[in-house]
Amino acid sequence: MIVRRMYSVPEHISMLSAGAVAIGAVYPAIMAHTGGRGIPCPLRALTGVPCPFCGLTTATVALAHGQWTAAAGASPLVCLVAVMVAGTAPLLAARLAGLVPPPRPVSDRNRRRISVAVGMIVALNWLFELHRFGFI
Amino acid sequence: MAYQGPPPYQGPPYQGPPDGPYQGPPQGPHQRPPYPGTPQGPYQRPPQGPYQDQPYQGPYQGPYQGQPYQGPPQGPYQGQPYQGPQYGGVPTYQYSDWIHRVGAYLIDVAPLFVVGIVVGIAHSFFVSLIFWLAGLAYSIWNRWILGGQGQSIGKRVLGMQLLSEETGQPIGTLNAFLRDICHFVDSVICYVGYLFPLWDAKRQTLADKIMRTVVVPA
Repeated sequence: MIVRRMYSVPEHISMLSAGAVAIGAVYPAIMAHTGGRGIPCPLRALTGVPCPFCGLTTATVALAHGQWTAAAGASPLVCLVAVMVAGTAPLLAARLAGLVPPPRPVSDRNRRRISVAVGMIVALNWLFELHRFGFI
Repeated sequence: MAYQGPPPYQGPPYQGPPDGPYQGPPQGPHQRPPYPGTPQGPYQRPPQGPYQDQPYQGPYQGPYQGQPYQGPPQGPYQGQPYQGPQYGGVPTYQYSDWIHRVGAYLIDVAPLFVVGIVVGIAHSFFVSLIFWLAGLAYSIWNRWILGGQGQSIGKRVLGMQLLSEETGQPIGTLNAFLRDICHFVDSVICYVGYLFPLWDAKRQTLADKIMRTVVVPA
């Protein structure tokens, strides 16, 4: 299965991350104004066990305010994504400006390899979250 | 009189198969050989209404010897919807992207957002109850048409369709409700399941993978 995209997956994630950081910049003000308690993790709310992606909101808000240490303490995964975004930003800008053609499709084999690598990173992040919440 | 059996064959002797060039195997709709890199073959929408996939005619057979171009012989476009250009001979396929799915979702929930505001600010219990029931009826109806026709209000506005990955048909109302229940899996991992169309090959959420559904341009 070959899927043609106008932008690569890292570029898509970069665009999403840019929006997330923009929201993260004003998120504390919104929560203070509305009295909200943030976005709950359903798995943690139901079972008490954090999910592999717990800490995304906390880390994103910290990154939006330039607090790298706090972000890494909440979710190292977000910091990795931030590094990827920084590396992808010039390519994305060139693509948006029309200076670079659309990305080449990724073969099934390479897609599987990338999926395995990302799965391992997510698993490591889950171990970190389990440790952060005192389960291991 | 006893039965004597059938009379002997009186016709011409057997001449062998008819001469002439090999005509190739019969090719009807959806006879296209699968893409060799995919064990299950690419998604192919079955014929629906006026849309009839044209059979695969094989590679180029030689120099042009036919009649001058007469225009499309079967009227309007009858092939698959846009599947993207061909790059290096490798077929490419298109599914609805994440941002359009988000847009369709926002359109779907916009009436519920209004209902929520009205219920929140209404001072009358009766008015709140009416709007709450109206919101509930809208949700059920929107899910009903999503399963039956493949298009909720939002998907219809943005030109998308929810289809079964296996049959290419709308999944039915019951499966549409089951798919909503399966969205719990998308939510339980900090809602990251809803981001899966950003990187998934078929742009499926986890609920889509469970229910074997795809969202494609209508």
